[in-house]
Parts: sequence; C-alpha cells; structure tokens
Amino acid sequence: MTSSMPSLFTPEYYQNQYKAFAWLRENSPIHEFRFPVGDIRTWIVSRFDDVQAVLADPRFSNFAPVHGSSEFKESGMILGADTVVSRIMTVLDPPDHTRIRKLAMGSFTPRRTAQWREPTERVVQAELDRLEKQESPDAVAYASAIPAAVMGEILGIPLSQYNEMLDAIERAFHPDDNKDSAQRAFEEIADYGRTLIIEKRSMLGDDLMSSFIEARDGDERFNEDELVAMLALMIMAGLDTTRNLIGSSILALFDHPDQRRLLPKWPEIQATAVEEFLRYEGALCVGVFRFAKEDMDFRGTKLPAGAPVVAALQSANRDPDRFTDPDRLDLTRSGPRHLGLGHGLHNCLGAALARMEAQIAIPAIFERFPDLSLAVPRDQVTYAENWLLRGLVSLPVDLGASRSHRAGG
Amino acid sequence: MTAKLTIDRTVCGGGGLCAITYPKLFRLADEGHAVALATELDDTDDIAAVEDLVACCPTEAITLTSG
Repeated sequence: MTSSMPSLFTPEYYQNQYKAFAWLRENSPIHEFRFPVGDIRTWIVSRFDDVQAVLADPRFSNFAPVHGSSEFKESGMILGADTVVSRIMTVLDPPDHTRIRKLAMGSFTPRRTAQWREPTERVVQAELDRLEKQESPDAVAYASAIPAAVMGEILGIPLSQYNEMLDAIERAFHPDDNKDSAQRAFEEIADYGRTLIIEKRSMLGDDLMSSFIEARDGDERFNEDELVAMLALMIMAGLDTTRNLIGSSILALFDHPDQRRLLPKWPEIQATAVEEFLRYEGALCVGVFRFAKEDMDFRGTKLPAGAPVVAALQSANRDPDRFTDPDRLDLTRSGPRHLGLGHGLHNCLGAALARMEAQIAIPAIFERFPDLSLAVPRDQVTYAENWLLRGLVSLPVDLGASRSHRAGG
Repeated sequence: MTAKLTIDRTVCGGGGLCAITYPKLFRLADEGHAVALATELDDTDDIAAVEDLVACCPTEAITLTSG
C-alpha cells in the first residue's frame, strides 16, 4: 500500500522535498498537479531518466511567451514578464540562444575560470576574517559574500548591492500569489544591471562586463536590452546558486561527520567531493519551467501543447535507480553523472566557476575553524520558500577557536 | 572547405548541449560523453553549426580544425 500523495510547493514541501520526490518517483513519475501560484495545470517529472529526457528533448522550450499554455501566460508566472529579464539566455531557444551563449561562454570555460582561482582564494580568506569578527556568525553570510566578490571581480565592477539583489531574487521566485511583487523584483534586478552598465561604459577594461559591452561579432553583437538581460542573468545565476551550494554543503558536512573527517585529504578527494555536493544538494531544486511546443507523447504520457513541465533536478539526483544509497553524502562517490548543473541546451554556463568556488570555499571554513559546529538545534535550520532554488535561510555556527589563534598560542 | 571534428572524451562533461542542438553530428553515448557521428566535414552548414558548438561547449571538448 502506498502512502498518500505529499503536497507540492507548500511550506511543508519546502522544508523537505525529498519525501514528496520519493513518493512521486514510486507512484506517479510523470505527475499532473496544479501549481499553486496561479493554480496552473502542470506536470512534474521525478525519475532520473525522465528528468534527463525532458532536458534533452527539443520538443520542449523554456520560452513561455511563445510556448506556454494560455493559463500559464495569464498567471503572471512568466519569468520577468514585461521586463528585459523575460529574454535572458536561460529561456531562449536557438538561434538566439546560440548567438548569446557563444558570446558569454568564452568567459566561463575551465581554462578562463582558472585565472579566477587566486582572486577566489583571496576573497575566501578575507571573508573568513570577517566571519571571525561576527558576534553571531552565519555560514550563509559567508557563502553569500564569496560569489558576490568573485562575480564582482569577473565582471570588473564591485557588486556592492549584492544583498539587495539576493533579496530581490528571493522575492522573484517566492511562491506567493502576488505576481506584481515578483515582477517588481525582476525589474529591480534589471535596473541594477542598467546602472552597472552606465558606470562601466566610462571605464572599460579587461573584464567580462567590458567584453559584453564591446562584444562585436559581425551582426551577432548584443543589443542594449540583451546586454541588460545578460547582466541581470549574471547577478541572478552567479550569486544565489553558489551561495546555496556552499551553504548546503557546510550543513551536509555537519550532518555527515564521517565525511567531514575526510576533509584533511581534500586535495585527493576534491574532484569527486564537489560533484557529490552538487548531487546531494544542488542549488536548483527543480529546473525552470519547460513547455511542450506541440501535443506530444512524452515517455507514455500525453502532454498538450503549452503544458508546463517541472523537471525535478534534485529528485533525479536522489533516484535510487541511478545512485546507490542516494540520501547518503559520499565524498568519494565516483558513480554516474548527476543533474545538479542541469543538462542539454541550458546546461550551466558557469559550471566551471561554481565548481572552483565550491572547491575553495567549502573546505576553507573547516580548515580555519576545525571545531566549527551548528549553533542552533538542527530542526531550526530552514530552507527558503523558493519554488526554484534550494537554499538555507541562515546557518548560525559556533566557530570554536580559529586555527590562526591556536597557532599563535 | 573541409574541416575535421574531434571531441575530447577526457574533458567532455556529458552536458549534451551539442547533441540537442545538432543531432545530425553529435549524440551522447551510453557512458554519458558526446560522440561525433562524422569527423570529416565538408558541408558549410555543418561546419557553421559545429563552429557555434565549439564556442558554446562548457568544457571546450569540441575542436574543429581546417583541412
């Protein structure tokens, strides 16, 4: 006998999606439900093979203004509708997607990313110094500051308003019925992008933002709105995601003391460990909505044209048919590829950067503070109510003595 | 004009952008990495499509050399 269907996208779900995902994989792997914001007819896909198939299937598009159901379009759920954010690369189809991704990808390849290693190490040490001075140290504040500083260096302009931007991102993806609030949040992000571009135009240099502004590739250059959309995307995809990954990984190590004991061997295990953090608690709980471009049969389920489909990335990453003992963190796991950075056309542009930031920031806090521990009871640690992203609200920690103090006597 | 297409399996992350964008020349093997369905290219559309993918691949696994 199966237990009853757990609710989706409710306060209870946000604190533990894995219970709902396990039920879905078992009982209704391609599951029709009503998405609570706007009460939209939606399907959620939960098994690894099916999630990967959605992401690799060109019969789906992320572009709601053309391919979303009328119900979806009327709901106000279109990402950044009526702002330039509605045309971020994440939702575009070829050939526009190809043209824009080509212009951006060169700055995020593993080779190009390597040049940010030294600045990232410097940022991490500075943020550890700052953390040490806090009266109530919060590991999520540490996790937030690192991608903001690193993205600031890469873009070539300090992201001094990163806290306001993180707040705007939260509002943009908050699952309430106030669609105006979400659209205002997207507009704030776009406005910040516009401000940065104006500041930057007067001091172009050898950085990513200058190269976006100067991007000239025959007729394939950015127009003004695309430039703003690109900056907005860098802010949205570059800050919150990496913050979530670092924060969730620190918590995962508190929850798995046996794995924490492997950290002194970090140089040997870092390659598999970072992949395991991405699998175990990736930054995106589900992918952005996909839409059926036509009436179709998707792996045995009939989907009408316009059908919104949620690809549950973290459900795929915990699918026992794909991963042995999937709810266990195993930093030496060397099994199959996960979907923590997505798959297909929209696979993560910043993957190499995210890996590098995680590789440096996660072990560094444990190295500086060997006795680091949770400062609140475990059940008081909560996740943000965000339909897209999986991130801790805060992670209060006791630092214990820092290694530098110990060394000093 | 002809060109030679190669995929470096040791760096390919199996993200599948190439296979979804241009299934005529790329597919994902069961092991997860991309494979090229042809390596000697002489069709200008094929070459242009692969040039785009060389630029879009997140791991720089795709190479196109002239001749």
